[in-house]
Amino acid sequence: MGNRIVLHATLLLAILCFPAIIFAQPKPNPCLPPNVAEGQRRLTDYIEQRICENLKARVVQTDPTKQSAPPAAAANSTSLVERSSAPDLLGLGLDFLNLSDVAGGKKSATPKTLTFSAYALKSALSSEDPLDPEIYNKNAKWRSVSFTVGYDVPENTNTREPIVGIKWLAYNGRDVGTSANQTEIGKIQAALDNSAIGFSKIRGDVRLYLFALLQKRAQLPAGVTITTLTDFNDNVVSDPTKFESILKALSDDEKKNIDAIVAKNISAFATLDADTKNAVKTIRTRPQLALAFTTTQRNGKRPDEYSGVLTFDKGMGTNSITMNGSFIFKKSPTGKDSKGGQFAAAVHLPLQAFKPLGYTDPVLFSLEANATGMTGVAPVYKAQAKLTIPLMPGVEIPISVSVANRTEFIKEKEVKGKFGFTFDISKALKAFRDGFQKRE
Amino acid sequence: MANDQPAASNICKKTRRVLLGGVQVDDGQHLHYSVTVDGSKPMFSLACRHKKHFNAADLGPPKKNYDVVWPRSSADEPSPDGEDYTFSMSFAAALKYTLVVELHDATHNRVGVGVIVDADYESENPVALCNEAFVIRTP
Repeated sequence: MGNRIVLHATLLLAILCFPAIIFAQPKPNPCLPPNVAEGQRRLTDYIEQRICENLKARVVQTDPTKQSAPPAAAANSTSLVERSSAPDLLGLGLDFLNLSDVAGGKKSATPKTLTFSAYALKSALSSEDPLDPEIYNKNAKWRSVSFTVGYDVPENTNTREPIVGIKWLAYNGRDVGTSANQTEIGKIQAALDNSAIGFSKIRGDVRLYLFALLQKRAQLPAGVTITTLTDFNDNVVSDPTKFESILKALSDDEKKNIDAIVAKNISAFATLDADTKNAVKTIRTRPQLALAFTTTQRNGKRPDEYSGVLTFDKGMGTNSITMNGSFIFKKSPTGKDSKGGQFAAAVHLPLQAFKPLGYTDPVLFSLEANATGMTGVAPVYKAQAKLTIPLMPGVEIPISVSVANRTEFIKEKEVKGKFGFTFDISKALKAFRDGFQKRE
Repeated sequence: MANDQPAASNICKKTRRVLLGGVQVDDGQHLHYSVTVDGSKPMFSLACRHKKHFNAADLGPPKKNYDVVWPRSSADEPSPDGEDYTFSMSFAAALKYTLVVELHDATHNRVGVGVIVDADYESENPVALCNEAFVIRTP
């Protein structure tokens, strides 16, 4: 009992500390290219920086329904509810610490699953570039199928029990290649055209302003010589050292004059920003429907499990809801088979206040519940609260606390804590991590 | 440096191997744009201050490699002092663009300054700003 209290206290501490740890990381200037520091800017970089500073609203990427965690069929999964899609290429789900497991330090095995798409397999075998837009769009059917392999480790044991699954995304409203989404794509392209025109105007006006300004200067910035406009264009504003020297020599009023040129043309960028956000939101909230089959082959006298799951996802603003309906069959080696069904639902709420890495997936709070009825067993009800903390693109830590009536074994309520780790290689490798193609 | 993390920027990551500030395109010459894309739906646009010159939608269905010949006659009018041209990219449905701009003669051989731009642009942020610009002179 004492151990359990300590474990629960550890879980609570982890939940409280992780956001703080993430917040403590130094933040780079989001208005500079990641590999261009202050002091290495060219005119183009400086203008982008000033445009960025002018645009206050930023997109909040909220696609909370992509699942890299083990399937919910695994007893140790950090998810109660199966979601409609898998990672685009490859996903790895680990359950590092089951806080209710009394085996504790003696435990040598932890549950692991690997999820990969048929498209990833086809690309690997055919040596095709999966990032080729033509190939990507041509293979929507291959992208709709994914496989999961791995093993579950029942509580208080070191037994590895194989899990195999297949999932078919029968309807994917979020595929950017579908005709229904072309209107949204068209809006972004049109806004991009106008922003390119706007950028050319700003750059031209700022360039001529600086040239005229420096021509009047009695003392030029260090390392800068002013001869012809052509020389200024070709050799001064495009040279980071010379351009930074010019920036250092500008007065506050002169910088404000540049900002005024930017502000005069900012509407094109505000429109691009808004249209892109709206398109992302519209496409990401479209419904998805998936059908999955999973089996867990148990050892010893434990029954093998087979389940067919129908999953529906729908975005609602920045939130999303997932619902599952499952048929479950348990084949017991003792001949006492059972069958039944499960209904599960989850609401995923991005915590808008938590944006530790800016536009990466936000810290996500999920409320999940399921009810399972099997022949010969009293119904089991489970509920779970889960916090999914993104560490970096593609790497997340799910921490969950669940309660269950646990009537299948004893007449008492059970509280579990879990601490997992998910790795979505497609995100981490930037493969297919576009704003729309997060197929759920 | 923390600044190396592309995920933390609202501007795309730029890896410039070559970037000239300007180029003069004479009679019989043209600029050859090669654009290579990783992702599902490329969206890019080349424009001067007056108009769009081409965009991804003009160039047909999504593909990995685009080759565009931009003839001198595409310019609105002769501009000896030069005009700013901007190549803008969207990362709403793409992950990486590689842009190569070369000065070619009528027989498609590289001439003069040769390569004007050779750079990669990457972002995972669908609303990241990403522009490359240089001056084109058409005497």
